[in-house]
Amino acid sequence: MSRWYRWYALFVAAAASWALWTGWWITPVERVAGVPKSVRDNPGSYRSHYSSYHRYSGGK
Amino acid sequence: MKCPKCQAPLEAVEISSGIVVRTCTGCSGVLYEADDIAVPLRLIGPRPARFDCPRCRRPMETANAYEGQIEVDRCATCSALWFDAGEIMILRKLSGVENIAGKKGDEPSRPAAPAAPAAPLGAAPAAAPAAVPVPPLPAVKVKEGKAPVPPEMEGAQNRDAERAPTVELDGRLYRHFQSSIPVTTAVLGEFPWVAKVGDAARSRDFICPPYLLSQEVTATESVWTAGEYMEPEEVWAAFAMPGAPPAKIGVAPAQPNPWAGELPSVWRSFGVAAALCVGVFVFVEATASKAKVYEGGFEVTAADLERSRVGEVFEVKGRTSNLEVTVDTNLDQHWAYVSMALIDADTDQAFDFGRDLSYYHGVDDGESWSEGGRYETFFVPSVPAGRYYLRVEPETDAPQLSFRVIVRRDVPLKRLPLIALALLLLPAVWAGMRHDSFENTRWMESDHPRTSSDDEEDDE
Repeated sequence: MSRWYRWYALFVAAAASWALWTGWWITPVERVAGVPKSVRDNPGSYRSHYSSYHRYSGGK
Repeated sequence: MKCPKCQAPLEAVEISSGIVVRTCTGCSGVLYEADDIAVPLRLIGPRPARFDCPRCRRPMETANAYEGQIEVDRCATCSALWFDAGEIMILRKLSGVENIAGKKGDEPSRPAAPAAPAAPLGAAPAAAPAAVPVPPLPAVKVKEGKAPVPPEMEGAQNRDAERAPTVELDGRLYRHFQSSIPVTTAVLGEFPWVAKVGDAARSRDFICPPYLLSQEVTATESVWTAGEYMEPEEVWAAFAMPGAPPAKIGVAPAQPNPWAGELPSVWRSFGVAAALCVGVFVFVEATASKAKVYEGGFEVTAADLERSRVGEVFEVKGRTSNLEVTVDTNLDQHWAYVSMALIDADTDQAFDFGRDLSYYHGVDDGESWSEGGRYETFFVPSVPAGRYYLRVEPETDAPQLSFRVIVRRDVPLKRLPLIALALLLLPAVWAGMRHDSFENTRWMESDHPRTSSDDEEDDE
């Protein structure tokens, strides 16, 4: 078990160190591509993944 | 009279003129009258024994003699002395007196030189018998300043007199496992010694896995046996038995703990990995910029048809790291959901996220309460350097909502090293529990079962 644990411990320590260095976390954040530059002038044209527009509103 | 230890009948035996002792027919213990011991016994540290005097049925007490090298049981009322099997022999060696029986005041008899056999009249004098070679004593590690003594003397010194004696031999410390009084109930086969039904001895087992020491003491001798645990497969192969040995049941006294060798290595690995996690966190925390890169305010009302807003462009510098976003609102008895997008001003990439907030409070039966909060902090992970702006779109039931958004760069997450330590600790604790479970099973069959309140050291 000690050999297995040694590799496991190394992996956990390396993963934690990488996460600390790069600021990684399990926050629910969506990466979106293809955002037009016009959003800067017309913010209403952007459809957020997390806004109510993306929820089913009952229409066909 | 009955034996105070095993309740077998005591039989009277005249061992010398006028000296009658009671010998147990079961365990070979001996009861002496107070006046029938010729050697002086300076008894110290008396404490109640767990049995009554077989003579007067009053409580007995146990005391130490010869600097704790022997324990003697004495009746507090009639002063009768009880010796377990083998203790008379120990007393002989300690006192240097061969025949300890005698009326007080008599000169104790010392061992005499063996007499030469009488030659028949007229015969030539017999030649002196050849000396019998005495086998050497086993190597015993002794404490400095003490003369070497055989194992039975070391074993008689209770280093932990209240609980369990130990024996040191060849650099190993053997712990007492169990004592018993085996009684021969049947004899089958050939023996190089006289064995008969009813023979009894006092047996004590000591272990230092995978080794064990076993002592058997009778009225006339003390025999030590050393042993070493063997796996069933080894025994099977040694005797060329067919098939496979039966499965193990429980844990044998001297069976090595399979986790004993693993635990130190596991904890060493844990220590190194934990130190690495903590070290990296300390380094990252010390070098983190935690710089505020943006602060902006937004306001929406119920009358607004379009509630989305954008903030000023700000620069995020340095290596890829996180952003700490704090949203601070003026919510009061309302809720709000703020969907946000961190949009790269130079590319078409964006980070999309949302947070809901609510704040309610009141007074119930004179006690104030509150629920939720007006502000929240969260993290956007792994944001590369670049120029960004925030797009916010709040939804709320409040007639008017104003909020500030503060963005900081490179804020190390304190919970990360804690999570890493927990992940590292779990398998190590599990291995420790398996080790302890093995030891608990081992000692469950002994005279010293481990309980939850015990704090005994584990074996090597």
